[in-house]
Amino acid sequence: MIGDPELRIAGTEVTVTLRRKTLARATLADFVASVARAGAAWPDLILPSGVRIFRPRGDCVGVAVEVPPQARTVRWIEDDSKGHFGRGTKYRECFLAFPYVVLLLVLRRGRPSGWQQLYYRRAPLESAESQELLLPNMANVALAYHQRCWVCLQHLPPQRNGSLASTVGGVVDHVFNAAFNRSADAHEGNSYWASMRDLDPRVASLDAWEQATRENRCFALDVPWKPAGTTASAELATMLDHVERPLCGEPTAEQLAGLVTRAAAARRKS
Amino acid sequence: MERMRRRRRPGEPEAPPEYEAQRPQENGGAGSGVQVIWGATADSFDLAEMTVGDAYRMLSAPLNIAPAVAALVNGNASDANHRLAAGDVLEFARPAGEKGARA
Repeated sequence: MIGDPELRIAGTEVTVTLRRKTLARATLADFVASVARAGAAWPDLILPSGVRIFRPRGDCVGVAVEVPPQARTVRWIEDDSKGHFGRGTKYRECFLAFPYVVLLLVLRRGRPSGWQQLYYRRAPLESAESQELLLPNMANVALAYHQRCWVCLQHLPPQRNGSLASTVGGVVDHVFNAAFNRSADAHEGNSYWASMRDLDPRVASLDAWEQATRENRCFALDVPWKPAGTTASAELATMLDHVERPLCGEPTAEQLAGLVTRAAAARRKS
Repeated sequence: MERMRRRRRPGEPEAPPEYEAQRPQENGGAGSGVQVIWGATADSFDLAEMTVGDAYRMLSAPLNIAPAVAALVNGNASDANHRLAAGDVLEFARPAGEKGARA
């Protein structure tokens, strides 16, 4: 019996030996690239409706979901509500126009990772060069947790099958259908609903926003939303880096050892 | 139908050219479509004169619309017999709770 070949990884080199004889030697960088090319980490996927960017990394995926401009019914806290959120909060249903809404999500094993943002745009995401994002005016979206436009998914119900489609659908549902309130103002200390009300008289109050919507369902595309100073690609890359650090520069045995350790931990959890 | 436009405010960036080309019809415009909103989907379908119930039966499979959803037309709760008109917005929405931490 010949026995199994052995891989020895040290520093930036990998060596294949069989019966103590060296069969091959390669740089770790070439080896890692070769493994990445050979491994089919993700099966073919039918991307859910609205997904414009799909960036897998390890057991994570970063997605940009685009919701086209539309007028839709949402529940929003009344200005005179004494409660900020929870029991006793006064809500009303409003028919409000939105521009393109871009949700940036990093999912780990199909579940939200805590890295989740919401921005506006005036045009669809088309190319890497034209992905500038705009600051929204939504309640429950706040500068928080190292994210410029973190969106609250606190009560997102667990999705039935954990598929990308059900998770993305569940997040979009939650963003628009779970009532908007002052939870972010209370817990994160700010919200874009509070900070953007002076931006344009048509979105200065719920009454004005609703009235403007009744007059022109596309008016939200004309509001001078403030530039966020970032792009969908850049934000998604930063968010992914926080959740699943990429191999930086020349791979080393130490980095691979870290990957092996994380893989073992993930296996134990699953 | 000429679109309603307002004057650009000082300092406001001009809309990129593609936005003009892809701008959806304002308040129905001249088309006969009904905008259907479900999750991240917002597509226009030729549903004028159809009832909300028929529209749901036709679209629930292709758009994977959940059973037990509420239907709203132009922001108003609507029943299955409501007849749709050109330019309407038909929303299917699942009831959800609220955002944020529990009080």
